[in-house]
Amino acid sequence: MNYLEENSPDRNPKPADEVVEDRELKNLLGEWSPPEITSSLDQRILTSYRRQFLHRPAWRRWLTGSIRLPAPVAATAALLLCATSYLAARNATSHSLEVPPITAPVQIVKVPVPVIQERIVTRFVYKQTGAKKAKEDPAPISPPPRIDLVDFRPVSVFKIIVNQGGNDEK
Amino acid sequence: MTDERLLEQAASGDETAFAVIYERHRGLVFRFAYRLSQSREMAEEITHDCFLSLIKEPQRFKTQEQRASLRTYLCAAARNLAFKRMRRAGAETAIDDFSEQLAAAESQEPLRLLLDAEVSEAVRKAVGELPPLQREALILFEYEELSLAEIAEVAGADVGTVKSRLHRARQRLRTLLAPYFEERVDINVERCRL
Repeated sequence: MNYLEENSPDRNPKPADEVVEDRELKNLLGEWSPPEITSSLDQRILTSYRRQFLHRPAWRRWLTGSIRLPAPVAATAALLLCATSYLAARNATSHSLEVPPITAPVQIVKVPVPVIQERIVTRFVYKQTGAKKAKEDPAPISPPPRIDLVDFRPVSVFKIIVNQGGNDEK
Repeated sequence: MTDERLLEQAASGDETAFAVIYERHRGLVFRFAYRLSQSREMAEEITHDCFLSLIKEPQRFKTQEQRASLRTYLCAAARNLAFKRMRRAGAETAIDDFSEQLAAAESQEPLRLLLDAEVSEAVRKAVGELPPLQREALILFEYEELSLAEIAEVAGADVGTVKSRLHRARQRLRTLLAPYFEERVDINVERCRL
């Protein structure tokens, strides 16, 4: 016979629906009191409890451990987390809008670029050699020629060439 | 603070929380275990194991949290441990041999001359003679004053079954302790006359 099924309800008739208080029996049952719990049992159970946590491996304490947090701190932390997440999500959305559209294939067009050609002007300076003759026979003074600079354009490169062949005295 | 909250803290190493839980429920667990097993040593072992298993595996209570209080959960744990130990101790044979016929009661000595200490012993013996499931229902109802629904949770049975067990336990106790009932009546009558 099964230990726990010996009094299954099927084997016995059911009592009335109400459970009537049996005061007389209750009083008699009250005559039997259990012993007091000893302090050694209390101590033993507390020691076992402490041992339970002392011998728990660190990884398990990490996985199953918890910390106590005051409610205002927890609420503030949760609020900050929400705000940060919201801002991060919003930034991600705006960045995604700035992505340039897909460009067409690159076309190569040749554009003529004007090239500035430098002009090189060569000037010759002649040194007069018959200075004495000029003093003895002064030529009639004529008005100096008028110099007109209207068409003058400065050149970017100025090259001076001195002809040594013109120095007769040396 | 609720038992559930205390248990969470105790399970994470808060000794003070554990001490509060233990202080709240140790009496119930120990008394129930003692009356069920009729042994102080066994009751202490059961109480120890009961609280330690609660701390080792608090999730077992959490899974039942919606329908059970910590009180009934501890009673159920104590009950299972007690039955396991009683089986191991060889009580099974005696219980299996138990008959619904009350022949054993007739062979017992009358309790008329028992003193108070002896009355206590007689009650203990009478309760101890009940089959475990009837004993469990009687102890939880009469001594610990749990409701029928709570006892049904502890025993894992329906309320009707618990009622049935309680009814039979009372009937049997009335038979076993009948001499003492008469004795008490006689004593009371004597007192009235004096």
